[in-house]
Amino acid sequence: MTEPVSYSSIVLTEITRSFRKNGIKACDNISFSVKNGEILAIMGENGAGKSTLMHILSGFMKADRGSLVFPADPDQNHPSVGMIHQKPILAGNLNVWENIALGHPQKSLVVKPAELSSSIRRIQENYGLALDLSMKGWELTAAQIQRAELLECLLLDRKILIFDEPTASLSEQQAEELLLLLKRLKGEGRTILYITHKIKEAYHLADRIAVLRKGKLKMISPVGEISPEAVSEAMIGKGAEIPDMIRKAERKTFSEAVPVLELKNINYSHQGSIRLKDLSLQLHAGEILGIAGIRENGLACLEDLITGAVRPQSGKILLKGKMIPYLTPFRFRKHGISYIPADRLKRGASLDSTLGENLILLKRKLEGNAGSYKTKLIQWAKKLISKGEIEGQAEQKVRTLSGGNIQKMILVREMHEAPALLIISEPSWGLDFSSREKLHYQISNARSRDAAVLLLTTDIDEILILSDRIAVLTGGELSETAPAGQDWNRKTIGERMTGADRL
Amino acid sequence: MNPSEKKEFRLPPVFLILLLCIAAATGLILLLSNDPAEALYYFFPGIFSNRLYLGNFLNYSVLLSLTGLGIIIAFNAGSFNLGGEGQVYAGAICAIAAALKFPDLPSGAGIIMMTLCGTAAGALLAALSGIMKSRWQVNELISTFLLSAGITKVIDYLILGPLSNPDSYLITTGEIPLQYRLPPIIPPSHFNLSFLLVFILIPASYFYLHHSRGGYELRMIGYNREFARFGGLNLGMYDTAPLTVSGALHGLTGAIAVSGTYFAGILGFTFGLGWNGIAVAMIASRNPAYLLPAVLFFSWMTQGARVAVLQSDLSLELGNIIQGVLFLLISSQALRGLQKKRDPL
Amino acid sequence: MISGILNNAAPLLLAAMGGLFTELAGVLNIAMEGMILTGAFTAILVSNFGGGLLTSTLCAALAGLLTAWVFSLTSFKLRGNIFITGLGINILMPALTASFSQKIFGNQGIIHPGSLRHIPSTAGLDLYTWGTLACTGAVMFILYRTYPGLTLRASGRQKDLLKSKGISPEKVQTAAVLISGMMCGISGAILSLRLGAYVPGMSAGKGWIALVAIYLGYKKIPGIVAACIFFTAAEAIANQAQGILQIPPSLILSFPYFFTLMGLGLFAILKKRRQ
Repeated sequence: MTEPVSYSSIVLTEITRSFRKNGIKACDNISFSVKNGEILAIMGENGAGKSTLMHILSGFMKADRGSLVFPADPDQNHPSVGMIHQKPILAGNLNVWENIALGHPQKSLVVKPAELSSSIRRIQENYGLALDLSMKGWELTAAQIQRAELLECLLLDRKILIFDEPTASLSEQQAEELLLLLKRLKGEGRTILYITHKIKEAYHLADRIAVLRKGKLKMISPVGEISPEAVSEAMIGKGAEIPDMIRKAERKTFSEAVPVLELKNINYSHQGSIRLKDLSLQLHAGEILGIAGIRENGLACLEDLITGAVRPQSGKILLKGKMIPYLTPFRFRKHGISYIPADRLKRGASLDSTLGENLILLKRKLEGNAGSYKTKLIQWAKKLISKGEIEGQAEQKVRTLSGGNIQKMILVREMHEAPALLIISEPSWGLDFSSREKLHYQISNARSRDAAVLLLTTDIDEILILSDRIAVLTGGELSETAPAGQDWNRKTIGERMTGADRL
Repeated sequence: MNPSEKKEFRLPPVFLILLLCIAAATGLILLLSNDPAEALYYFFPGIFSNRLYLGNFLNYSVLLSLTGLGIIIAFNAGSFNLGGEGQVYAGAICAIAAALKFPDLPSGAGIIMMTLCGTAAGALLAALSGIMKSRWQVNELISTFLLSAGITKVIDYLILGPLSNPDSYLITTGEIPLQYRLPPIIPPSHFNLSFLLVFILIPASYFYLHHSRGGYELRMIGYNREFARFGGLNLGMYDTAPLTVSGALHGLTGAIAVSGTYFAGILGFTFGLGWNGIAVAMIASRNPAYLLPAVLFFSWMTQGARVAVLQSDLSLELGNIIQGVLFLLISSQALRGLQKKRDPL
Repeated sequence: MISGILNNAAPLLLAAMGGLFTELAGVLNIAMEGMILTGAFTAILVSNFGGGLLTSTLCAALAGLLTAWVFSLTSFKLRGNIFITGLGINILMPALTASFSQKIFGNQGIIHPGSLRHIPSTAGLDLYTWGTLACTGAVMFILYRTYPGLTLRASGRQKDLLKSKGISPEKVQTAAVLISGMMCGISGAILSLRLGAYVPGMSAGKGWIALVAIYLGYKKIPGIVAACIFFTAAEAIANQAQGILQIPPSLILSFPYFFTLMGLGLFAILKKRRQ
């Protein structure tokens, strides 16, 4: 912290913020400064305090203690900070220009659509951010929403931009385009704070790297002066490294018997647009079939279809060779299928119920004569709590648990009974590095117990690590399925996901 | 945290609200009465001053417990039953119609017939909303209200027209046969044996909701519908059945009110049993275990107001004014001192 | 005939426009019923003491606003259950008006003020209908072409969105409730001033039907206008049928509710079919 203040755009001094509920410090005495026109990568595991710190910077939250100064800005009121959120929030019923207008400084009460659109278009042309301004919020893909947020920030001419894991929901190609844009923005003299998990990205892009762990600033250093290994160690801590257990779990060749799950020529369209096109797949016992794709580009739809949340217009769904004419979540679960949804907080957990009530969801018929249903429920829950290593009590409300513990709760519930078929969607969303490794180990273990696993994910690395066979879903069409290692590698999957291979 | 600790933790904040409600009622009486001391006496301890008031207080509590229980059961399954008024009214009129149609049955059979008819009428009304909800996703909040409001006018018509008793000065139907009437326990009040139902149904509901598999499933749907759906619960059944049971309890209330208290269908005689049922269910925070204290408190306030109106210079509207103020205050989270819920992520 | 339906639809439409504000802000406003009744009573009260049309209407709006303020205070500041507080308003206001009526007029029934005000009209539509139509246009402009309107449309159930823009969702909701209170107050004034009398319970479920009209109209103004006209026309047809089919008048009172329910059911079935 030796930089003279006059060259800094942000100076943080002893920023501390703790959560009211459990008193845990999300940010603990953090001090550093950000130079004008630099890209600073902020790294750390989940729960390290990155998001909280950025919310304080953007003025969305207040620090309990410490000072925050913007030397270049006379007002000191966060006006020059723009944030591009990881899970962007925008109004679904408003179209793009209306959403952008919401954040616009309001000199007059009346909106002038023509004037506003033309100034947005100027920025679009200038930066090459193509986006149809008349589209409704709910029609946008994650990448487009991000684009809309960026447009809003540029329209307001924000000098400091915060990106919260912007590439998480992007395809590889989109991510590269974004990184190029960031460099251009830096060239214009803007200051960029870039939150990421990915060390490669940080090295590729940033001038300096700051690492947070458990709310504390562990290191801040120029990229050239520190090795990736040191960054990784600062993020995870010493001794936290986990042996690569997945490779040890033997990959079997699956039997040629009746597939556990089979989709035949599925067609599904919603509100006139085709979401899944003539889709067929087979999944056998003892294998992991990985389907890579972008959620908005059919993957979320496939998840809904297999779980019975939506019904295809044509095509067949077979479970263990038996045709299921009208699949609903109710029937889906009756077949003893385990399901880990991408949307954990709505589909996967009931936040206002107790941990025990959440754990018992699949095993509602409790055996044994002793005691009432409630005592049996608590007994059962205690067993699962210790098995899943959840930090919580059977009668505790799930709302009071941390995100990681909620994830563990869902996992142990779905995996406990050794399911024959496991549908798992975006398994490592919101997980830190070590929990992700453990999870991958559990999934591969389920396979060794002869479970059929369908893995739906945006994460290419995850697909490559886990899958026996891989297919890619693009624009509602599924590619040929091929074993991992043969046709599929990072590059081919990435190109296929974005459709770059067909240009 | 074990359950008994939880109870100790949550009751006192509710008491604070109750005290505030009492304070509000006192304030209103001081404002509206020329002889506040007398009015206050009749309002608060007044109902314990003689057998008639005490019995009527208990009798109203019995009826209110049943409607409150109906709301609690539907509410636990995530359904809001706003049709309570109409369901009580329909239960009553069907019980009367049955009694007038078959006036010569023996006493027990007649009472059972009336009870069954009333219960069925309430259940049917609510089941319609339940079916609309599960089949076409029609919001039950609106459908129960509309159905109830409409049926209320139809019953008004029946009481004014086809079923009216030309010999009476009041707008009323004919009276039910003497042998169909539940005998009073504390005469001259109408408090009768139907109170036993409360002591059966409340514990049974508590046990069902908190100590059975069905109750567990029902509550999960109420807490998070998506979660329950993807957990494999049968939503269709739980959209219909709890509402139907809720309607049945309201219909039952109507039938008991006829056979034990009013003996005839008087125009618009539900006395807010439906709306007040919602209020007591809210005070009891959807748990049957807290229902009885909530009912006794609420019933004391409303019956106290009635006694005060009869005995002092307070106007007839005072009861409703106090009730309205209670409704405005009773569900306040701020007054309970509870923290706002926050998502963990 | 058409102008008659339009005239009759005016109070419902005005209440629905007010309800649209609360609905967009994510507030379930069942207190409209009580607000309408308050407006109706206030208008007659002021009119009785010599208030002109404008004064009476403005006072009704003020009374509606006051009711809405109590509603928002208990719902937001005291964080009450919006449903229960709404019921509270609906129980409290009729009782309060009856008590005032007793004190001022010495009875609790129908109140005829001494002198009747004539409501000017052109082209078959009276002043209030024109006013309501103008108001509907204004609401459309406010919601789609002003910044507060955009904010309101964006808010709904996405409170995080407002917070991230530095706007307090509670303020938006309070403002929406107050606006709906004013409009419901005027809606009540239309009812009572046209009749030249206050009748207890004269709101007759209008607050509820307005709410249903908002749902049926997909929270969009043209749809809501259509729904309001549909309900009013259905009522008119039922009234005509009364004369022809000899349906007793007390039974007619149930028709608006059943019509509304059927409309709601049909709408839901069609929506399901389309999917």
